[in-house]
Amino acid sequence: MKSCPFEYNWEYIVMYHDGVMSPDLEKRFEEHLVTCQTCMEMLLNLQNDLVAMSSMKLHTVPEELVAGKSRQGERHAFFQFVHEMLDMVSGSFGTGCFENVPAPAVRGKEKVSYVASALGVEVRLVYEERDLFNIEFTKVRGRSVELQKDGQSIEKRRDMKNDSFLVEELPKGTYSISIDEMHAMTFTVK
Amino acid sequence: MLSRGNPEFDMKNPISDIKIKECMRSYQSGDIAVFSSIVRLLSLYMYNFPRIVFAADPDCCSEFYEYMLRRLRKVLNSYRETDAKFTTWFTVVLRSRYINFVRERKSKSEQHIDSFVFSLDYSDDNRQSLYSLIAERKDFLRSDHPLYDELVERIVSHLNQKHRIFFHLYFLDSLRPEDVVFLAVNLGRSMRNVLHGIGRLKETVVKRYEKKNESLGKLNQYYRELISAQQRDDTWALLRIRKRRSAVIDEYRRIKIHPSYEGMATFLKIPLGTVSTGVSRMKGAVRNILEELYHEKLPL
Repeated sequence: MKSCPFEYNWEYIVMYHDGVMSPDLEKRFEEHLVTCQTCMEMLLNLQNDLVAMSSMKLHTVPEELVAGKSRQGERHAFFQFVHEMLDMVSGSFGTGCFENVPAPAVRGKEKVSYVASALGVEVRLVYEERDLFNIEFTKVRGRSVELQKDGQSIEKRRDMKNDSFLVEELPKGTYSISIDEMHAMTFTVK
Repeated sequence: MLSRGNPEFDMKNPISDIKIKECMRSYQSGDIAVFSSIVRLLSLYMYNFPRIVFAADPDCCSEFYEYMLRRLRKVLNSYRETDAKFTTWFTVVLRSRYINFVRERKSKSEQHIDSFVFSLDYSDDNRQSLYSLIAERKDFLRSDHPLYDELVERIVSHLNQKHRIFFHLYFLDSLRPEDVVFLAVNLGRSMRNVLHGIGRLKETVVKRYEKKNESLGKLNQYYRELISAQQRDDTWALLRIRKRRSAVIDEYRRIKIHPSYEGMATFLKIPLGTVSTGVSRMKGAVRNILEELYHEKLPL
């Protein structure tokens, strides 16, 4: 395969299309387009797609998708949290917790929303039906964990014998988690 | 700069560039709450992309929409702001992701029916015209099909320079990358100028594109129904679907997408009469070539 000096990089295609390259680079890229069919094809596709997308009527996104329901009628935890933003209201999340933007994870059919870790404990927020969600704590053997909702303690476990435990059917609200009596994280599910 | 200094090429932008770039700046500086605003700004565009560009059905659009949502954070993290429009960048991303999405779906299900390939036995059509042979064949065989490429190549290699220019502008959808280069070189223009000019010509026939696209969507649907009826061995359903599909094919064939002569005259900066004569002569030349190649007379 003939190599492309611009490495078929679409950033160049985008910049050339919108006319925002420096004159020198634009001249080189224009010369390149004469011989590179792949880049030229990308450019042609882009132009066609943009014309079509800018001139044709856009249909409304179906309500069930916006509401976070999948096509099979299941609610996607991830999408639910995208729309009902998991809003972290405290900055002290412990090491590595949420890493600023919580990553959605999907394991097979199981729908996992956000996975966080704080003070060595892993916390998974899993969306359930009827606007409720679960919190699953793992790596808690020998630890003490307290879960508070809107300032009230709703679950307190000391010196855990098991490695994990689950708190189910939690409504929306502001939650705080303490590990070994140290504040680990606070978040709001709106 | 074309998009800033040359507004004549600006297209209607379905996503506000100022708004989305503001949101992207906030998002990339750590404001995760703005993510939902970004989703709202991009939703319509993401959902409609497969339908408009690949004639995909609503189910496929919904699946692709969810597919994109699951990957959106990663996609957005790779964005680097430049003076280019966000929509331009995002459109390239969507095309690439859609192709991956189709491949993944294909590999997951052996019985998967490609969302944009519908089966119509083109050779059965006994009402072929120059238009159906060149413009529509693309939809039947897809533009990257070797048979289609071969047909276009055989025609254009026999046309003189002037006729070839008219051919490319008249049969806009048959345009290949090398034809853009040909137009740029022979018209003494930049590639971008040619591409934007072609974009302008396409915009003038957008309503017909929409209609044609709708028909394509229906044909896809009927194809799936046919397969399903065949699997069920349901003769009555097969007859009913074939009848409906035949009506849609007729409707589809009635919609011809050619840019106006006025549009071509503006683009080429020549008088309208010259375009009219040029197109007519080009058609005659193409017909002669086809007769020579296939020994068959075709209506213009």
